[in-house]
Amino acid sequence: MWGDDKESAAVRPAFEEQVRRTSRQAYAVARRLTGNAEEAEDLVQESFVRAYRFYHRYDPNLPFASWLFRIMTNLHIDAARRRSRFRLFSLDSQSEATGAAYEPADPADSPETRLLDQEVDASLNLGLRGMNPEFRTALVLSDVEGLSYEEIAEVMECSIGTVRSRIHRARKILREYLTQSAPHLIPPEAGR
Amino acid sequence: MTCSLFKRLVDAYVDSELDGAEAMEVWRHADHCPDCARELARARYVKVKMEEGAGHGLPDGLEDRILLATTGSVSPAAKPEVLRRPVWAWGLTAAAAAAFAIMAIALLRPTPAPPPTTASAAEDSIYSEGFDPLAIPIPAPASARTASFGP
Repeated sequence: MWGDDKESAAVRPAFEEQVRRTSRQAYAVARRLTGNAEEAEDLVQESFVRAYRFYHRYDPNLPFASWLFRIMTNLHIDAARRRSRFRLFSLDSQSEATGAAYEPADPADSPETRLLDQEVDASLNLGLRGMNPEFRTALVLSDVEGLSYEEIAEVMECSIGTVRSRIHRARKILREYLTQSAPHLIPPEAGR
Repeated sequence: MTCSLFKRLVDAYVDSELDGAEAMEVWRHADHCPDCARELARARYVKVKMEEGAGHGLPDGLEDRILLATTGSVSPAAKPEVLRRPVWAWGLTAAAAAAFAIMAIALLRPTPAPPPTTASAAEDSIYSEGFDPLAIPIPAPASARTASFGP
């Protein structure tokens, strides 16, 4: 952490400007990664705290948002691995009961009284929560933040091929999830 | 292009991550294969819904809390209630401090010295070697105290 010295005084305004410019983006990504507002706020705040602590390592020639997302995704993936409530599973493993590659959450989790968009959103969050955190992170960076595969590869420190594979698997899981658990949410042209 | 290859490429196609020739192949295949056309529509639908649902505004006060937790600064526009601890939190803190102070006083206060007395043998036995200092002392009879402090 920075102390009350000249270096700190020079860094503060620059960092505060970065917070103002990127906090909204960071929160949008965190909402999709965590699936709820409270955890998203914690994730965003912790990411900025770490970014400030290690701001002396940040290369100003690179986009601050990408550096922040790298911190955020590492925090998220680490937390997801630690928590048992994030159920990890193999895409190759088959559910004995259904034969599906992935057993959807109870459809009753989506209240019938919700509006259609809210229901879709809730279903997507349930689907996201059930998948491997690396898949989820790659998909969220692509669909929410609009990063290219190359940018995602930099953030996640992996190859573009790995990014392509993770996004493909993540979106396939969501498609299967929506088709199985909430077929009424799929528009007719995309239905079975 | 086979359906199997199409399904492997469809998400990169939706993300505009294929080169021109591959993208054209995918598009042509979907144009002739109803199953794969539905797969493409589903991929697009999921992507669009992911984008739409992410439009959450920044919660009130989050930016100020981040600034406070990092650089320690507070913007002039910050609402005091966002940064201030809730009233009940201060109440709990005050109650805990008061309880601590009472316990500290109780523990540190010296045990009152036994009153000088020339009283009876029964009272002397209270302050003898076998006396338990944690036991409540039995007060001396009023008559004995009067006798001991008298001129």
